[in-house]
Amino acid sequence: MTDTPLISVKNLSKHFKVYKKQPGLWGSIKSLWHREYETVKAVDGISFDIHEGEIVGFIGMNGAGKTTTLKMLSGLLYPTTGTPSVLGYNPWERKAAFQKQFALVMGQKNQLWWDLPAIETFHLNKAIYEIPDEQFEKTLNKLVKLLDVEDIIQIQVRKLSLGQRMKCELIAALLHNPKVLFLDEPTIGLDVVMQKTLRDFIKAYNKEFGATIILTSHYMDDVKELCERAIIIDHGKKIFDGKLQDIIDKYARNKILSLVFSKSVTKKDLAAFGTVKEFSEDGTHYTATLLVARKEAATTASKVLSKLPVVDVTIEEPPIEAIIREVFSKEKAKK
Amino acid sequence: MRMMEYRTDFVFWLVVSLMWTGFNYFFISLIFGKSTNVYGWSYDELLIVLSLFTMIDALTWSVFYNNMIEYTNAVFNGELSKHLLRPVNTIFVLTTQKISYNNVPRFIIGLIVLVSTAIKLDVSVSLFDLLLVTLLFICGMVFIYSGWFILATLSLWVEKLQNINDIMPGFRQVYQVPRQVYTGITAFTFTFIFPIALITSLPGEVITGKNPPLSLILYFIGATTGMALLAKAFFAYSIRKYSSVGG
Repeated sequence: MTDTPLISVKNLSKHFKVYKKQPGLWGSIKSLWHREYETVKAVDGISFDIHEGEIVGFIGMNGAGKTTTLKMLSGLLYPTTGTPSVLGYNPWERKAAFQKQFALVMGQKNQLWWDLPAIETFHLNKAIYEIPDEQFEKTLNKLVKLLDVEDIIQIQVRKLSLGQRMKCELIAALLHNPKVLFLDEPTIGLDVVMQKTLRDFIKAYNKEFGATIILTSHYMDDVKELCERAIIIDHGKKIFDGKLQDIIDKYARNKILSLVFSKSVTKKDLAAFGTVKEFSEDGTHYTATLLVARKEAATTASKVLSKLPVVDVTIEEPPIEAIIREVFSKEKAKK
Repeated sequence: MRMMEYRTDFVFWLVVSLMWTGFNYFFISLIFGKSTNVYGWSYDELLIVLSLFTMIDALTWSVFYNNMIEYTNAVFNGELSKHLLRPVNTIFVLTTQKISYNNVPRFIIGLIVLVSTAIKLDVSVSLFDLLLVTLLFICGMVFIYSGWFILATLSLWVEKLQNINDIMPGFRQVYQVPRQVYTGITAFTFTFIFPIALITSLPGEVITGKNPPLSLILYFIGATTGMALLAKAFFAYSIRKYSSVGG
């Protein structure tokens, strides 16, 4: 990893002017001569650097500005302010030399020819990206094998399942061995098995090609498993940039204490140690989940063990989703 | 290639395009049922212009129409993004993404009628004339394409512009007949301001030995070059307005 960032973003903004239509027929008629517009700050002055080989997760609610940022980094959208630099290029200039070194994969969009087998798109990309025959064959074989799609690349794309299509999309995007990969919701709509397959593949690709990857996903498992670093965006502004573990340290106030008892205990007994989140007893099984102050988790667990009939205890971090919700609620409270 | 996947649709459009051609030649024969000369053009000479129109029109429908529809649709549904991401000239990709072959027979019919009529008229076309006709034919195509592309690019500026692709085909009737048909302000408009009347007229005049003014030929070549450059510049500027979809 070098000191020079591969991706550098300074004060990047994208504002859209959107028309606010009044409801009903009268609203439609009125809009013919008078329209009210509103400026939406989709991305609002964000800055960050990303170094070679990093996998960075972009986290944010719907409409936070994640995809808009990726689109500006890909040269699809013209920034309102700021000039991003990717691989030393200004993406907006859309130079061929730049475009041959990155790929943008959008889970909800496809670049495959719908009416033809995926292999036709692969050959088109070979020509477009000027991939030498040997490299094309080698990369294609490797990707096809990694994603286990030997049997489907000859089938018309419209006849493939979502998961199969996504695998083919990834192959089409990676045939030219991009150094920078922007993945926008790559696992959206896929079942858990397929999500895992794609995550493993992305990890393997990063390892093998040293690719720098920015990933947006609503599935926290994607971010947890793939990204050491996360950037949280809310209403177009960056509100956190650092290691995932730092988010947990900074925002997770509690730890989760899962307890199994040998005999019945009361809720009141448990409440003395923390917030009772779950409590269950059916005459044979007695379980409870407690939220305890993070810094005192070990001490509290020891107290519970000494005072209650505990047969099993585990201390866990809260789910990352809950922590992210905490981050957003804190940011909302600040406003 | 995509089209061949749907054979019935391909055959249907093939039949429709051949019917268009048949009607065009039929109507011109109707006009000459009562006249031997229209604005200084004989029936056979007018067949030359109509054949040039048929060939240009066949190429227009084969190459431009589908691609312009795809282009404006791509702006509205965000599909333009995938073209902008690729390391090839975006305008080139937008122009060649969907080529339909169902108008190829029309082109061939136009070419056959053109050559056979020229033989019938016993016109002597030098190599220079042939090159000039080819150049003017290409200019005509480029002019139509550039004008259409500018109109289609307007879709980047507004929320929805569904019928923008109907404008340029609406002008087809103008270059279906020689420029001499037009008089007064109409002639000035279609010869100098928006010189589409020259598209088939100039090469037709070269073939039939009517010797169009050199200044007019140069003007048309210059206007076409200007139009092509304007289309390129307008796209480069307008693409800043592209908002993609979602995100």
